[in-house]
Order: sequence, then structure tokens, then C-alpha cells
Amino acid sequence: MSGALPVGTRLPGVDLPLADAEAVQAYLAVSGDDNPLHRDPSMARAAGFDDSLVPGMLVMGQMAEVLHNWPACAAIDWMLCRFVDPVIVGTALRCEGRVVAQDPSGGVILRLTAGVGRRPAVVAEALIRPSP
Amino acid sequence: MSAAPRALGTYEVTVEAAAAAALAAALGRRGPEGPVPLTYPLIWLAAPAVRLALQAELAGEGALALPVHIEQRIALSAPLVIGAAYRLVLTLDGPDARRILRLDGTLHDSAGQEVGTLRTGLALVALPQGAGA
Repeated sequence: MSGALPVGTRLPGVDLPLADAEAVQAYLAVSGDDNPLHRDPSMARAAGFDDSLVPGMLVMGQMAEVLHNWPACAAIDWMLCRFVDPVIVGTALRCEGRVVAQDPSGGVILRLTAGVGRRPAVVAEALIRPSP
Repeated sequence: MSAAPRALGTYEVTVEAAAAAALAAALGRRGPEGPVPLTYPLIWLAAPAVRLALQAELAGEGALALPVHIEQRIALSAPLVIGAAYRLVLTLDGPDARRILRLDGTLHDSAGQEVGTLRTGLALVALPQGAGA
């Protein structure tokens, strides 16, 4: 089933929708996340960050959408994200990925990143079901 | 500081069509088509009942600590269904010596079948005196 996605297959790179202040506010309103690190620049600076932070779950959600939109992906069984570098509101991120393993279940495991240039802010793995 | 895993609570949750559509739009999806966003369960974790339980567990950490999301895993054996009712069982572990805590969730459908798991890793970041929310 996963023969159509051999190890090394690359997910086409995608620029994630820009998480500017407006987009972050829209996400926070929907998600119910009231963490002041995402809303209050002074609080974020007091905690040691340069400015307000993009919610990690906003980026994870966008990365999952990239997979859903990839014609080769029929479904996501699981996804694990590690938020390795804070993302400041307004930072443009690009998502890239590739197949790193075949899974005994018939799916494939992808390793993905979202970041700026070669510096990842989010590192992820996902088990997906390839499209027939 | 408590590091022993303990039950946080059991919560009856549903997938609401309007919330799923709004979340999809906030993630950049155009149009109404498509599955419930994978990250929809995080809406459940932000519900007042869950937050109150978490706040009670973390009361000893003080008001000058904010959680920063460092890791998230979501596994679903089947896509979430609009309008469906689920039972979410949450367990809290930590914070540990590095002030990292882990929230584990198990999702069951209305028949009691396990249909998913969640794992949320949070780091508690200290704020300087005078900067508390």
C-alpha cells in the first residue's frame, strides 16, 4: 500500500499561512487558549521572549492541514510535534517533509519541519495512510 | 512539586460543527470541505472544567509561572465525527525537576471504544516578580 511513497519521498514545501497578530487572535478565539504569552507582548518579554509567541498548536494545526492537502495522504493516524524554538508572531514559516520509514501497518512515517530557512521551530513526525 | 501521575478528570466532550469550521478557517483552510482538524481536541483541553482542574493541581507552582507548549502528540484510530460524543480521560504527570509536566488523554467513543490518545508536554516558565498575570 505504501509502495507509492518510498522512503525519501519529499512532501512539496509549503509556506504556512502567516501567523500575524490578526491570525493569532482568530486562532486564540477559536481554541480557547488564553495564555498571555500569545496575547501580551509585555508578558512575553517578561518571560524572556522577544515578543508574543505564536501558539504551537496553531503551527501544528497548519502542518496537519498541509498533510491533509497533500494528494498522497489519505489520513493521518498520529502526529507528534516538538516545539523546539519559540515562534514570534508575524514570523513566516515554511513546512517541509519527507518519508523516513515504512510502517508495518501499511502507512508511512514522515519527518516534517516548520521553520525559517534551515532553522526549524517545530519538528514533527506523522504516520499517514497513503492514498490508493 | 509533585511528579507522580494522577487522574485529572473524565470529561464528556463533543465535536461541534461550528467550532470545527472556525478552527479549520483559523488554520488557513479555505472552504467548508475537509475532515475535522487533527488538533480539534486541544479545544477540549482549554475548556473551563479542564483548566480549573489543572489550576488546582498547579496551585503550588504560584501565579508567576506560565505554561509553554513544548510537545504535542495526537493519535486517532478514526477521524473525529461532527456531532459525536466522546469521553476524554486525562492524567497529569509532573511537574518534574525541570518544571515540565505532561498531560495524557485517552479518548473513547460512545460505545466505550478507545479511539485516540493525546499527550501534551508543557514547560512552566517563571516570570519575574511584578510581572504576574
